[in-house]
Amino acid sequence: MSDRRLRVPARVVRELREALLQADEQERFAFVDAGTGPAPGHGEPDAPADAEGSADAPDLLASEVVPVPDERLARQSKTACRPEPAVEREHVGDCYDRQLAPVLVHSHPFSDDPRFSSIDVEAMGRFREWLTGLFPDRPFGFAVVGQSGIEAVANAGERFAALPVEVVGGWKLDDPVPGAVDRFTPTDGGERDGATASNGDAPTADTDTPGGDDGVGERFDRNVRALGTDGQRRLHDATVGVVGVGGIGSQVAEQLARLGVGELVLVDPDAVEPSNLPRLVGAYDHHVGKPKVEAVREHAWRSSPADIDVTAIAEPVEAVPERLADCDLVVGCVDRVSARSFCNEWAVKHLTYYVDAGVRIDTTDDRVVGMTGYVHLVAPGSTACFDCLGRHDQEAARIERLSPDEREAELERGYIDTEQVSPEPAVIHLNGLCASKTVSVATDVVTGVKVPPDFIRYEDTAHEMTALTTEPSRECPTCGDEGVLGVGQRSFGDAQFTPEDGPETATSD
Amino acid sequence: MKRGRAYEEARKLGERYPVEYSEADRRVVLERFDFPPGWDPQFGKLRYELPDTYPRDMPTVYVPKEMSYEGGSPTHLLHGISPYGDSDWSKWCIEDHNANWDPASDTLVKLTTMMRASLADPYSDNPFAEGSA
Repeated sequence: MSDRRLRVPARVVRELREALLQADEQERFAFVDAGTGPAPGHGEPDAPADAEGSADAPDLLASEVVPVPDERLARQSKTACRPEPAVEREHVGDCYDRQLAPVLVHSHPFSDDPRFSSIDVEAMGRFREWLTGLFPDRPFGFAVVGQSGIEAVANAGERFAALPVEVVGGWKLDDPVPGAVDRFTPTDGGERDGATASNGDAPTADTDTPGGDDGVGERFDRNVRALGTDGQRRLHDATVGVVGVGGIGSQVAEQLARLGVGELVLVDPDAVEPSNLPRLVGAYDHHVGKPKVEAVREHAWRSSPADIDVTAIAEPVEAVPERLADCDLVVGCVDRVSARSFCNEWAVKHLTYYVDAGVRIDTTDDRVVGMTGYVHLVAPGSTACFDCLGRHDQEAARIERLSPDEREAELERGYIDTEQVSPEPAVIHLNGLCASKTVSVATDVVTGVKVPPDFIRYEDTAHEMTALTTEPSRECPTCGDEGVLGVGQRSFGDAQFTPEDGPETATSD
Repeated sequence: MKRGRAYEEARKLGERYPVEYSEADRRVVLERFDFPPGWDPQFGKLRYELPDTYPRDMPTVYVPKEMSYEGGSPTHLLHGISPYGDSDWSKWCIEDHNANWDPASDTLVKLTTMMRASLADPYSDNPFAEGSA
């Protein structure tokens, strides 16, 4: 996906409509404060100085809607509105101070699918002249919101460039944004063909080459019959990160490769151990001692040799977040809660889809009393994130952070018991089931063939699978009002703070 | 949200104490904290190491290794545990004190208040509950 976009969570679309489209049909104004995504293809966050202009400029990530109250508008009617200059000046300065980019949004309540008017374009040109004089080389944009549609542009040197609107979790909107793209819309603008296995005229594959240049060749003929040509192309164009390639992640990687995903990024710091071999697909005795990602990369590549690029990174994900930058979707199959939390936060910051997968086997006196699996889809700002559901486990994360000496000391003092640091029970069939449902959800998101569930819970004892709907929480510390939704990768460096009246010496707070 | 939660909380702490904030090292140091009676020396640094998962997880707290309480060393002060590559510090096990960290409401400012209560009653396992009785 190489063209620059405005990524907007479904929640932000709703907030914009509520704020700007009211019964009196007056035009209204709001700022959308936007983070900047990683520059496409570079795997590194883009510095603000590089953030404008070309098609390779980073996406703008809608983070927060800040409506301008009617009383702060210098002009307002059913055909025009403009905030007081002081409001623009203060908000734009504050936005850049927070390393966000302002998108100035007004409404056309009289239009379903709005377009900037000639008066808008003239005013935007004057604004650009003023803003670039104050803040050279900083990104900004404009948008106009109608009853259904949204049109957006971003500054691009001496002109404005159209900014396709990508709705994250767009299927959550009762009234979709017409013309909006999704993360996996082909860059040539191709429309979905809607083909499914039930279509009477199901598409067939291009049989000239096994995989086909665009991933729809003979090799994937049966996939194409199920997912449609467009669905298969979307898989071919997608880059999926798989964090954790153990019992679940290795099977996820294989299935994604065989499905025809074009690029995989595998992240896992661990080496293969003998006790992994009963579950680690693609790993054999000769892999023991070698990085898991190497074994799984080799297996994924053998599964789809002509059609896939696989990158293997034998590091903890916390050490290499920039390697997730080019991923359109991240799958987390890790056994550390702190790594899951890290992936969740990264996805929320960058408005990237995250699918978290895991299993749990409970035993009592060597007897299995429960086997469960889950798949949790995080569409930032549209479905509940890891922290909305309170899934973070502070005690487990604390134990994970202990050094070997500290862990030994805590075991001796009885602060933790051996069960808390022992390997969890695991079996391949439960992992396989969880991996398949994870790939199913990921395929729904990428192809759009059907709406993905927010959360799946599987109970092996009763063989019951339940799909659940989730809602993001405004109080969530990660994606809520005080969280980091869409802020991108910011850096404020080091700082020193000193009390105005000298150091505090009081004995109470 | 402003500049990020840790930065804003460090700035708020800076209204009361001289504070050094390092984003890259995920570290906040209060340069001149007034330790409760019984601690020697009375003024010293407090160091908060922020986990990657902050604010969902509580920071790890260190005090200067020369700190002592009434000439002794409470069990919650771990002289053998210091930040990687910096042995001038000792870990203070605030988590042993039933801190019950709540990411929705707890902050570095609140942690500093908790530290004051914890250091004022350093042999207690639950100074917060006892203090409010």
